[in-house]
Amino acid sequence: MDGAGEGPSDSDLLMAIADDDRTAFDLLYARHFGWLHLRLSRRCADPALVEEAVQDTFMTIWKKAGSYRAQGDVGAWVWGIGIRQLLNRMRQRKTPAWHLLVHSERLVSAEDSVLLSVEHGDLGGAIDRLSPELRAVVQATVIDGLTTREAAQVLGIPSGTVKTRMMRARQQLREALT
Amino acid sequence: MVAEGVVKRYRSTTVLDHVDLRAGQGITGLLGPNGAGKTTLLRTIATVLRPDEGRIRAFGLDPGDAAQRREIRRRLGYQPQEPGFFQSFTVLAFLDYVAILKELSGREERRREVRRVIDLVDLGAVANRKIRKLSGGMRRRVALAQALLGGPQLLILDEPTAGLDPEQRLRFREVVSQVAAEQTVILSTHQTDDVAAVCDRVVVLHEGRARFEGTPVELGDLAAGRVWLADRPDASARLSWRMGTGRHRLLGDPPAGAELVSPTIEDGYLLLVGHAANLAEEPV
Amino acid sequence: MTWHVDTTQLDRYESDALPPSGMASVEMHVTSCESCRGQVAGRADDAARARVKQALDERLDTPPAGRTERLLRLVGLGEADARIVGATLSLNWSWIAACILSLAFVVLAATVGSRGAGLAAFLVAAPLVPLVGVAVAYGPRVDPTFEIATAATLPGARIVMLRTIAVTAPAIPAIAALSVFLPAGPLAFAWLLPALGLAAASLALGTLMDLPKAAAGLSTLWLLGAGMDLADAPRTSAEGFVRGFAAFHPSGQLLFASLGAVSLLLVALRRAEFEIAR
Repeated sequence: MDGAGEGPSDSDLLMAIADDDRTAFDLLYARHFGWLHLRLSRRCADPALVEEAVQDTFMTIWKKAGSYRAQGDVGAWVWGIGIRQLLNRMRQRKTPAWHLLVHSERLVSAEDSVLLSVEHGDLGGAIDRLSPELRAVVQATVIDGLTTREAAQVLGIPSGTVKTRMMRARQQLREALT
Repeated sequence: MVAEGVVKRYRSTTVLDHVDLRAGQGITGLLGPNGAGKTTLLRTIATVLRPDEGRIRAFGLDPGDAAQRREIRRRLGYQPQEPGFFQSFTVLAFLDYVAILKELSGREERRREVRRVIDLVDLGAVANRKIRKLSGGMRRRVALAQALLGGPQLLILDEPTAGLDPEQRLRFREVVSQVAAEQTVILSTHQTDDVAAVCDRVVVLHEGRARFEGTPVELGDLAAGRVWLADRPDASARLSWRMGTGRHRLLGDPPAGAELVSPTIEDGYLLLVGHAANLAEEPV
Repeated sequence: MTWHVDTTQLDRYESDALPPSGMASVEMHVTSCESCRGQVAGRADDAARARVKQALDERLDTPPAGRTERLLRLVGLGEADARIVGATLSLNWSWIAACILSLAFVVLAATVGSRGAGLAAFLVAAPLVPLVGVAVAYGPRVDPTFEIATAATLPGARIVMLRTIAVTAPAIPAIAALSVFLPAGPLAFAWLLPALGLAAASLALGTLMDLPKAAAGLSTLWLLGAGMDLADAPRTSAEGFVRGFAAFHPSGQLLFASLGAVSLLLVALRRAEFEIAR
């Protein structure tokens, strides 16, 4: 994602960070702290935990900047690190927060990642009508980008169940579109 | 800081021959050509070297006595001419190491102090980079930074501007002027514009002897009435060289038809040290 | 991207007030859209941002301890001491390791070749290893930070002692392990007292001259002494041959023990000499 010709791109910054450039790191932090903190706060109700996760995420970015090899959007890469940091901490503290969020009606529902780049219309309604269990599974695997095994761990269900629920969710959405 | 009658010999050469140097608050410049003995004098003042003869006092303390010497070093910062680094260290690691050598207590205090000097010399961007990956100018800044650790009252800098480009030299002068507000700074150089820019006092060292001690203006005044511009070089002049404008600058007695100009510090310096120089040499 | 989030949507996102699909929309979009990320950045919690940044800066400003340093701290060394030793240690240990490896070859030769000559070679070579350790401990040619260190307050003697011990302490047991392989009983350990005595003596000499010079000088004297004595030594038995060198006599051993003690005393008395350049 180039910044319209002004200033270095995120992947430029990551390259500089891999070269131990503190100024580049400060700049990347300024760009990404806001949305990461915001989005992680919607997953965990404990603000201290979220701050710790954000801190560890950026420490990981500092150490692992070299391992990002132009693998698409930097934001998605950052999110992958961030959500896993948060889940680790939540699992360590054994907070029930994640499970509550997952099963509540208020939780973000799921759409296929391709569909989400479009303004929400009728499809949005279909997604909203998915049952909480199906929504949770799609949320974990599609939105948050967790693997089947990670999703199973977080939701406290077997991997097989994750897969079958994903299939059912996709089927329901496809039916809603036709 | 007072040094009186300092003598230092190395094998059969007398490197320092009864040199006096007095430095108080502000910046004192030690000016002289290479081989004049500047480094030896500075090493002696920095308590690194023992003089063969002479009397040195810093803060009223005598570096000849081990306990007093330690006390002097507690308030001292020294940037050697050839700073050595552990090449695989990062800037932070190196400065932290020097902080340990200076016995700055506690990890927290060291970290804060290291961060302070890094920001002072503007090395924040490369703080985590290995020193071997830094340019020469940046390494000089690291060397300056380590001297500033602990906020020393006496700062001794040996050729801190050598090899720096004009912009880097400007930045250096800014940092040093900032620091010199309440400290004593002694720096050596062989470039007169450094002296002109920052020094309150200057001592000219040549062949192991102090030839001049005073303000930079007084140094320039030594050449008052003896600096001329002419269209042609003149053999009777003490020193002369061709300038970029095509005219010639002459030091010494006025040749016919020459134009008197007011002296610069460089003129005074050259008059002092150039008198023994071969007329065929072209000083820069 | 054809659309961007506006302020109202962000407000509702922050208060969980969008329908689930909307929440997902905003999230997925903001993660990959630079301008919207900027918009969110402007609204973020400044206190949290500052807190996390400060914590990050503190962590990044703390240089991580290397492997050798961590090992030294495990052994009980304080942080400052561990750092001083660790700065030159891996370089020094590679010297020492090379020496011990050579010694191992000597031992190998001793077990297969002539017993007397092999044993003598081992016993004469072994004390040189700690001397190498002393030579690389400290000094203008060995430690690039020597000038700066001299002008600082930490006593040079401390640096010398820490580094010498750090190098010698593991070397001695390693060489002793080699001694076990030699079929010569307690005689195989006759190198120990000369090694310690010579190392201490080189430190004492280091108060007069550069450490490498001191170590080299004593090594030369030792080798000359060995050479001269062993040239005339009886070759009737391995033990007889080896004891031809006075150092491996009981009286010689005692001499080196005393040399060691006196040297350490001298070092203690003259330790200020390590704080000045020559």
